[in-house]
Amino acid sequence: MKTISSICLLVLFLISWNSSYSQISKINTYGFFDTEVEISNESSETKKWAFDQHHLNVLVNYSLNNQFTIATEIEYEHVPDLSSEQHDGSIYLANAYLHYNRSNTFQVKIGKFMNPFGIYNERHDATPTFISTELPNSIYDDHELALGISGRLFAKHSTGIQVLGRFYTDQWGFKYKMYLSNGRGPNSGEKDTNFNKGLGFRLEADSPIEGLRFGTSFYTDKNGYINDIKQSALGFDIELEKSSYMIQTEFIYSKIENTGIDELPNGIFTGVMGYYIMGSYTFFNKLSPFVRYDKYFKNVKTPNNAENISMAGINFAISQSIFLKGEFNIHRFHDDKTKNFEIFISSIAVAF
Amino acid sequence: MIRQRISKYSFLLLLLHFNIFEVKKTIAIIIIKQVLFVIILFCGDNVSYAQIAIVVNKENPVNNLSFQELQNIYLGEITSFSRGNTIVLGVNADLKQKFITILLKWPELNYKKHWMKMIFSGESHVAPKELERTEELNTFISQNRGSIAFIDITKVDKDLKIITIDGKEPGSKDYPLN
Repeated sequence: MKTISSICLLVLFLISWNSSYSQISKINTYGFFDTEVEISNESSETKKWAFDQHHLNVLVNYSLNNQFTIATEIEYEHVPDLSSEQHDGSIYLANAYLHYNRSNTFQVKIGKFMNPFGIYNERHDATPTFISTELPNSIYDDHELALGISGRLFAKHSTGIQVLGRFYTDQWGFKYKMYLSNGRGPNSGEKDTNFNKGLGFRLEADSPIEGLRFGTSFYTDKNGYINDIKQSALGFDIELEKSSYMIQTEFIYSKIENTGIDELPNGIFTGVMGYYIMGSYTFFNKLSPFVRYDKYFKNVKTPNNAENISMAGINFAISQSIFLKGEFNIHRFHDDKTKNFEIFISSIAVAF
Repeated sequence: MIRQRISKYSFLLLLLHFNIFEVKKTIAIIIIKQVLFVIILFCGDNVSYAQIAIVVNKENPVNNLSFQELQNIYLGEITSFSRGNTIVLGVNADLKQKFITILLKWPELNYKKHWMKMIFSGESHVAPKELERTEELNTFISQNRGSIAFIDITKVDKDLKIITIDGKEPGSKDYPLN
């Protein structure tokens, strides 16, 4: 009780201490939208090409004063229709946190946030900022984790607290982000199913070479969706971004605790690994062809268990906020060639 | 520099004005066309040669920024001037392309994409405020303690503070935003 009272007093103190710096309160609204067309030979169902109104995300940020901001983001995916019996699509709260900006070097987020892992996870579905429509499968897609249960190698989002900041040396710039959360599990926005917390960090370094950035990310928790199996993921990324071209690569290694016949964790771990490399070149500041090679190993100790996706596509900036994309993906499975397929995706992505 | 140009072209216009009464009508029309052409050229010159000044709220204790700091501020990488003074960016629509080219050597589209990434990733919660009219920018800066903007130096309100970049004042020989 004493601890709670102390925290409340501290928050009140911080708010009142900054009241002299208050400025006009403001609401800032942003968002993005995308519609796709997909056709593939994966199954008879996917051969019927279809339109997919994939995302509509609305961000509303409210500046309380010069240091405190409430940031929110709601995602509407695949045209949610709660009136239908099937409850088509989904609506979810991607972000809802209080951001405290004490200085460049020390800031805090409290609430629900997208985990800072890899280059893309915090931006998650903001396709206007991606060169392609699909994110690299190896890092950002679901994989089989245990006994037919699929999930990510790291948690996509968390409810908890994050400490972040930036600092500079003469030549280098650094960003750090550390977070503590409930980890994964049913209703993780409200409770934790185990005593083990989700823990993660990301460190980014801007090199003295303009546009060259390095990053490393880590996440670990006990996954409450799969009987509290322990999962850890370590990632590295490098990005070289110039005004006319971009090269990007990410690598992930993850340890996943296996489950026994009774579906309980057995203390034996499987190592999985993935990486991708992507490049693009921009002509006339508008037209950007790109290629990507993406590979995922389901078990680093077992031969012939990899999946790879080769992709080529084009991104055309109709205006500064509207992007038209087309991409062709070739999926190959080393252990079962009957699962091989190709998919063509075209989309229009708009930021507002 | 601009005042010198105004006086030079005004003198030219004055000479042409007196000569018009002594020449034939057709020649007069040609001369008027040429004068209009010169005026249009002069107006174009005014925009491209506008001297960019970096302006902050007069209560802001900052008097100088390095060129590198200014780059990081406009990229959203520096978020506070000092404790409790979160930066709010102002963008002058007329000078935007010129400023981004000088400061970052980027096309405008790349700058827009950079800020989309900043906002959608939660790195920043307020995108640079783009304002069409200089008067609006002046008001924006005077009302926000943590604001910073780039404005044509001839249009800066007296209530605002012009800061130096790398210790150089706007208009000086080695000013980095020349």
